[in-house]
Amino acid sequence: MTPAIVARGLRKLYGPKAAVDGLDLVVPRGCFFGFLGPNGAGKTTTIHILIGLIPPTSGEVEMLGLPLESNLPAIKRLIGVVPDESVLFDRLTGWEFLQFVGRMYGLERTVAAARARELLDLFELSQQPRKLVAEYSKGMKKRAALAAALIHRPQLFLLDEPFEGVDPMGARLMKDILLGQVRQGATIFLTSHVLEVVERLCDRVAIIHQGRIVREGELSELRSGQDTLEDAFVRLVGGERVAQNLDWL
Amino acid sequence: MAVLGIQWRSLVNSLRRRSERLGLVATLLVAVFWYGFWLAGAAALLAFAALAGDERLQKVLPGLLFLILLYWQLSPLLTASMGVSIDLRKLAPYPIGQRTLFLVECLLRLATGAELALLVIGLSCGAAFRHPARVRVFLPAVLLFLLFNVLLSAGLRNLLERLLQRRRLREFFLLLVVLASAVPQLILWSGSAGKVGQRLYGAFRFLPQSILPSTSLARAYLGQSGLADWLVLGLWCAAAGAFGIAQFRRSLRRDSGPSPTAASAERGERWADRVYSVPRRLLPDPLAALVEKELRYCFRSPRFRFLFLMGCSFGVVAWLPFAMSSSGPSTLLRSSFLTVLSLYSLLLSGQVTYLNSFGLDRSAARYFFWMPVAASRLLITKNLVAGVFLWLQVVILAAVCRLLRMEVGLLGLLEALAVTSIAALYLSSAGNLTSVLFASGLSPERVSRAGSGRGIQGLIVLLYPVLLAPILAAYFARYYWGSMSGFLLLLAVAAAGGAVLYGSTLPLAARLSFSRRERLLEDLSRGEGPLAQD
Repeated sequence: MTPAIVARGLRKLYGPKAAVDGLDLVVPRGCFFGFLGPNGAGKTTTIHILIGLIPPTSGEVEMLGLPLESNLPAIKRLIGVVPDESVLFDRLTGWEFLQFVGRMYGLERTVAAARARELLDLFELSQQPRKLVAEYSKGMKKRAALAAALIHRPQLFLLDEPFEGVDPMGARLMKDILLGQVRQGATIFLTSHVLEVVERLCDRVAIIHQGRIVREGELSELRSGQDTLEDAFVRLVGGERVAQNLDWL
Repeated sequence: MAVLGIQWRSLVNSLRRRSERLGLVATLLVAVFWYGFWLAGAAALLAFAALAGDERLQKVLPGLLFLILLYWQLSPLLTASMGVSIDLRKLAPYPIGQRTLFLVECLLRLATGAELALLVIGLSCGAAFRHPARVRVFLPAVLLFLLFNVLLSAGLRNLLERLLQRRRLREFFLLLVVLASAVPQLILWSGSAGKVGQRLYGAFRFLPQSILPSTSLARAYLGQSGLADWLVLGLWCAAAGAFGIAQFRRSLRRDSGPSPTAASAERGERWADRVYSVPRRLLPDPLAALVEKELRYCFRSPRFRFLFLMGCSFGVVAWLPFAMSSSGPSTLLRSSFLTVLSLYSLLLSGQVTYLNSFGLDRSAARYFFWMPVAASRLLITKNLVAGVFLWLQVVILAAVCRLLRMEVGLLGLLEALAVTSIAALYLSSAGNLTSVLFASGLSPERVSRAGSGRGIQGLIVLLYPVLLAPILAAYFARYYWGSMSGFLLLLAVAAAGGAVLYGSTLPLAARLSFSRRERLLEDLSRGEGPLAQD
């Protein structure tokens, strides 16, 4: 079976600066893949390239066995996205937003409406059905975004910091749902700053630093001996420097 | 200084972009026309103050200064445009004192009323030319008069801004705007301008002159000021200051809380669900889903509702007096009144419909780029929804015209629908390109904020005559040559031309939206500095 994601020599330049610098990546199908890196390492840029939001300067991407550039419409139908920011259509109610997304992905109207209602119940967003997304809290927006990513049952999820701002109960629920999707054969590509979450959920991890993959492999390979994922992460991205004492601080 | 510095830095950073520079050029062009007009007014006042006889000056100056005062304070209401202001939400987290913020607000009010300040400066220069020795006397009075206006406008602006955030009051204010702006035109139309002018002057004379700040300033110009005048100016300044600070503090407290309009937008809207569900009965998905979403989105946006209602009401008031005149081009206007109104409302709604069609979506527009929807289909949907609103406006305007006993028959309605549809083809053709090339996020809740911003709107306004030239040519044939068949023929040619133009620009706009998607989304997501243009 072809991998879910293959990236070869991916580069994205902003002027002279490379946000992504010759990135090579293979994400097997059915894998819960953690994509880690410090701030500004190129995680979000990579996700944006993978979902076709920004074009790469050079390099090739294959998603679910299809070259991205020539198969973008077909690939879009097979993926579900949770963006880094809570950018939803905020003048719609939660139900209207979800069924709109469902219909855009080609679901029958009745199916989209029913799934939207079920997802709202599942994510505990149905208490105030007339509430606009604009009035949602950050955590509620993240839950709504994940619900929208699930509604068409995609084969591949690309999730950018999906747990940010979500309360522990909501995060637990989201994790359970995502693990359930992986058990059913879906692939998840996840970025997160919360390394404990990645340790608990992911079976493969790649660490990106300054636009390049500095380590990729099974989670167990990264955690050698007594090292936690955090230790390995800090060691790989060179974050072990001692904070300088500022006399005014 | 830091606040102004940040805004300056935001402006400089934004000008690094080509689209912003284009916008700046357009803004500068519009500013040259606008301030040139007021500069001419200031020069006229300078000449008047320098050369007019003492008796005439004594008679005219108090009224003239009172008019300046009124215009300074009421123009935000009449134009529903409140100028640059501090975005308190962005500054709230920082330890900036309320006094500092209020000072910035006052400086911005001075900048917004710059044209009126120009007139006062013109008068002052004239007065100085006339009696150089009096400068020391009237200069402090001029400064107090300007300060009073600035403080009062700061208070009124904050009060108005808060009132406009309330749904029902917003609509009430809209009505007030329409009525207020109607009064001068209705007076002109009734042919009793002279009589009304005399009565207004009489009413003004009836006001207790000695307690008006404008009269005190006039007396200072004329070298007649006494202690009472200084007391009047000082007290008015203190009162305006107290009012301004109180209103500013209330806005500050309100802005740190949750937005009231978003919460109220949904109440009592269930009936509208039936309207929103009409597209799904007529169109297949995803077109129906997109149209439905657009309908909900627009009607739930106070900004859109405001412009829609303006289109249905303001145009009638603005154009009615011209149409009711008994001679000249009014015959033409009267016979195509509904069409003129419809075209006017089309221009008015452009800033949120076709010129910057992703503006209200803001950052959420990125969903369009990862959902399986073709860009051309998306643009067609946006244009289709703009068309639905346009037709709805034409029908409402026809009903309003009937209420006003204007002659609007079925043929008039059909003409208005046809002409505005053709015009919409041309404007949408340009609008699809501007929506992609000059996109900017619009706050759905700020009813008074300028539309596509950055002067692009000004550029488009300059293009309107060119875009509408084929339609104007058809009307030229109808009224100059008196040829109805020529009119219909040219209108058909205009329609065909519009269709060709739309058909050729749509794929280009779609291609551009894809190739420039990164820039487009960045433009839509970009935040503004701590100041906001209203």
